[in-house]
Amino acid sequence: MLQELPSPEAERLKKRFDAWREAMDRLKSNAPEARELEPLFASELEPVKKDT
Amino acid sequence: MSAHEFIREVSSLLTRSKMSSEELVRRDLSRAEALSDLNAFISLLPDEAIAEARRLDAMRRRGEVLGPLHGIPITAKDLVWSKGQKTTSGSKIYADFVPERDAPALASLRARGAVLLGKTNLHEFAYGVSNVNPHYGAARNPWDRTRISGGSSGGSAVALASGVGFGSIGTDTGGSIRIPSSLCGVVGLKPTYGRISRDGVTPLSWSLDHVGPMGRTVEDVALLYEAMSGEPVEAPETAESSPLRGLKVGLHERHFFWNLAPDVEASVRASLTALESLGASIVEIDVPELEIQAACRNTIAFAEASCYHENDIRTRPEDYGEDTRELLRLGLLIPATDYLAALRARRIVVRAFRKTFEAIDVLAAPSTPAAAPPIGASVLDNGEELRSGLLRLAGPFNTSGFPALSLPCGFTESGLPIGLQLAAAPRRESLLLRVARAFEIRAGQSSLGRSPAV
Repeated sequence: MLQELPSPEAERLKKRFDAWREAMDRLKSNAPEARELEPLFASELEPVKKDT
Repeated sequence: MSAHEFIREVSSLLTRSKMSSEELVRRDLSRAEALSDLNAFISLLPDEAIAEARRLDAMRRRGEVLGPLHGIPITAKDLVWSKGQKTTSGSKIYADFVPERDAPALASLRARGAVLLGKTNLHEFAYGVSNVNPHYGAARNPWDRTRISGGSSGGSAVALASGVGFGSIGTDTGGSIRIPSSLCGVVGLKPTYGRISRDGVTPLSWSLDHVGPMGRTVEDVALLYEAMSGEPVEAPETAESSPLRGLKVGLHERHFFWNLAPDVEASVRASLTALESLGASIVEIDVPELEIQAACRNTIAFAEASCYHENDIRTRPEDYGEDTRELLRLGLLIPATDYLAALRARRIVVRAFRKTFEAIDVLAAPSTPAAAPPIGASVLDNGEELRSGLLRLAGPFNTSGFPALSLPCGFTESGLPIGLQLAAAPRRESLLLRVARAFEIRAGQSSLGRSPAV
C-alpha cells in the first residue's frame, strides 16, 4: 500500500508504522509469557450478556 | 457567574409546575443556537424535541410520571443511533445515514422520559482525542474557545459545560468520555466493558468500545447510569462526616503521576488529601504490566477499526479526514499475528488489574496529564504528544475493561478545568459513583461551583 501513496503521505505512514512496530516488539520482549496464553476475546470481559 | 442547574433541581421545578418540559426544552434549544460557534452539535432536533416535551407535559398533567428524568433534555453523541434522525458518526461517509431504530442506550433514557435535544459533535468516527472535526468543525472548549474540547465525545462535554441539556450519551475507546469531561469540567463515566449495550452505536474498536453517561454532576451521572444500565446506585451518607471510612484508595506514582503539568499534579494531590479527609486511606501500588498496555490497546484498536472500515478506506479514502485516514491505513498494515499477540498480552494486563483491585477499592489518578491545549497544538503543556498524552492515563481502563470516571477537581491558573479519575474493579460502578459523589459534596457541586462565561 505504501508504494501506492503520494510520497509525503507514504513517509508519514511509514514513520507511524515503524513507531508502532517498535512498541509492539518491545511488548513482545517485555511480556514473553504472553506466548503461553490464549488470546483474550471481548466476550470474556462482558459482565452481563445484553439483549441486542 | 453561577453554576448551571442539575437534574434534581429542575425535576423539582417540573414536579411543582414551576416550569414545563416544553419551556425547558425551548430554553435549552435557544441556548444551543446562541452558542452555535462552539460547534457542540451536528444536528439539533427542535421539532421532535418540542413535540416530545409536550407529550411528556400532558402525561405529567394526567399524573403519569416516568421518574426523575421525566421531561429532562439530554443529548447524544452523533454515533448513537436515533430512529429516523441522521446519525453521521462525525463523518462524510455516513453523512446521510438515518437509522431505523434507537440504540438501546438511548431508548432506555427515552423510556424514562428524557427528551433528545440534538446529536453532538465528535472526532470523526470517534477516532481521535482533539474533536477537531474536518467535516463539522472543531468542538470548542467553553472555558476558552481557542482550545480543544477533547474527544472523541467533545460535543457532549461542550453542550453540558455550556448549560445545554442535563446529560449526554458518550462513548469511550481509549478515554473518549473521560478526556473531554476532564478538559471541559464535567463528569463522565466509562462503565465496565459491556455493562451498557453497544448495540446501535457505530463501532470504533468493538473490544475496547464502551458506552456511558456524561453530566454536570456525579449525582446526575448516577441517575443517567441507573436508567441506562438498570443497576441501582447507592447514595452516599451525606450526613456522615467520614463517608469513605475504611476505603482504600490506590496511588500509582510511576504511571499516573509521571510528567504531569504542575497545576494538574497539585490539584490531583490535593484531591487525594480530600479523600483522606473523608475517611479513606491511601495505598501505594505498582502495576508493572501498565508498561505493555498502550501497545496492546493500540494494536487492537488499529486492527479492529481498519477491519470495520476496510471497504470504505480502500474505495473512498478521500472521504475521510487526514488523521482518520492515516490511522485506518496504518491498521491495514498490521499482521493478524500481532493482533493476536496483543489479545494474548491483554490477558496479562487484565490479570494484573484484577490482582491490584484485590488490595484496593478504587484507584485515584489524573484524567489527563495537562489541561486543554490550543486548537492545532501537537503537544500538551507537559510536553507530551497530544494523542498519546491524552490517552496515557485513561487508556489502561479500556485495555482492562474496568470502570472509570472523571470528575472536576480544580482549575489551572488560567482557569481551565482539571479532572480527577477514579477507577474500580468490574461492576463496581456504584462504588465509584458513591466515592465520587462524596468528593463532589465535599468539594462543592459541579465544576467546583463555576460555569464558563459563555
